[in-house]
Amino acid sequence: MKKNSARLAPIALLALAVGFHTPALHAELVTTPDVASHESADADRAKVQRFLEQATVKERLQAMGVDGIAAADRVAALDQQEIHALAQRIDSMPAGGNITTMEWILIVLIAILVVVAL
Amino acid sequence: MKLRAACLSVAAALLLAACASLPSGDWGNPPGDPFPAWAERTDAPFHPQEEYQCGPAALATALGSAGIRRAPEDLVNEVYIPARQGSLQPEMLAAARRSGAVAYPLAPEPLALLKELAAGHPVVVLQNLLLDWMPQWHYAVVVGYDLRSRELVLRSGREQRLVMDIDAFDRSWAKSGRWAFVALPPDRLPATAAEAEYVSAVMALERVAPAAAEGAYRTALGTWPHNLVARMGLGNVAYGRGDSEAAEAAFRRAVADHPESGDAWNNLAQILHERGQAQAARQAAERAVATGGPRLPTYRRTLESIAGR
Repeated sequence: MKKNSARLAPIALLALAVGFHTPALHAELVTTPDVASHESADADRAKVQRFLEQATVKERLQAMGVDGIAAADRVAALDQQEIHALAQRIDSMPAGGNITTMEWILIVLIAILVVVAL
Repeated sequence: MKLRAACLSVAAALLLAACASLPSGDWGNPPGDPFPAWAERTDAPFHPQEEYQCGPAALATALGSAGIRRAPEDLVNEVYIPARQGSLQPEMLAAARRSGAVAYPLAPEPLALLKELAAGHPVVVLQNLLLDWMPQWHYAVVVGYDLRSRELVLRSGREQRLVMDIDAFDRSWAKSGRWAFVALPPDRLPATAAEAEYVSAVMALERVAPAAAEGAYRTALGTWPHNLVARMGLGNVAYGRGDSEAAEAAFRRAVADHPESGDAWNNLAQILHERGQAQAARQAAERAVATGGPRLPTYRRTLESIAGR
């Protein structure tokens, strides 16, 4: 029993945090995303999961060199599906940029190998 | 530098043959629904990209074409990831929204791209300029096409007007799963807009730029007047900025069009309650509770708060 309540404490805190993070229409208006979704009894669990995923994505962005405040703003601009996708596979997602130094080295190495092989 | 380029082309040419990709797409003009043989947004602004920063540059071009002026330098903070030396697709969409545009992802097919271009909407695309197993991901903006010469016109990297053969472009685009989106002002519907997808794109805008979303909900309702989500969104945004009269009008219309929607009755009840129409509020809340559904607990709380006073 004690063990259980110790386990529940962080979840309760989390739920509290989720409550603060929910974009609040002050009263009990049903939000537009809720109108669009058909999720039901598990709505609270989904909220907790969303909160955790948001934290994960923000943490990953910061770890990849985005500064803290900017990371928070960037996460706030993502919708639920996008946050979910990023939380799942931010590291394997294509990053459109320019060719990186590492890639240049690989290309040149391969080119040399190919030329040598011929 | 020359040697590098030579090495690159040798490697690319030899390895390209071995690389498997999506089947090539159909770039023909559909007989039933023809569009002009060529089109180009010559006025689409050009921002030569800085190192690694094709994401911000492409975004600035797309937004500028939509009448939203953003400098690539300012967008760097919203999309660029230093450790990846690039930008991720979801963040490209999110940054377009932060600038007040509706970011609408296209169906992954040539026809969708051509249709948007024919309507004068530049398209942001993700290309892989190298190989499947050694990708070089790159964002560019397609601003025009010419089906007679089978060419596309792009703002890409440091090229203001890059003309690409359709087949060569398609190979590089297919490697990203033909990912593409348009960024449009709230009053402009994408040429290929589908009802649910467009409303969902506006919904993502609602939290970030409610004023823009309100306009876009109106645009959606102009074409799909009975869309419940757009109508409810319109009411919610109006409520959020304190315009309870407009909110009431939207929720009234929602229950008229969708008497089966408990959400609509619930929100109408709350608004009526706040506007001091106790009797009507109570009736609406009772309708919501009678409708039931997954959010019944919310409806019950609304009814209790109305009946309790």
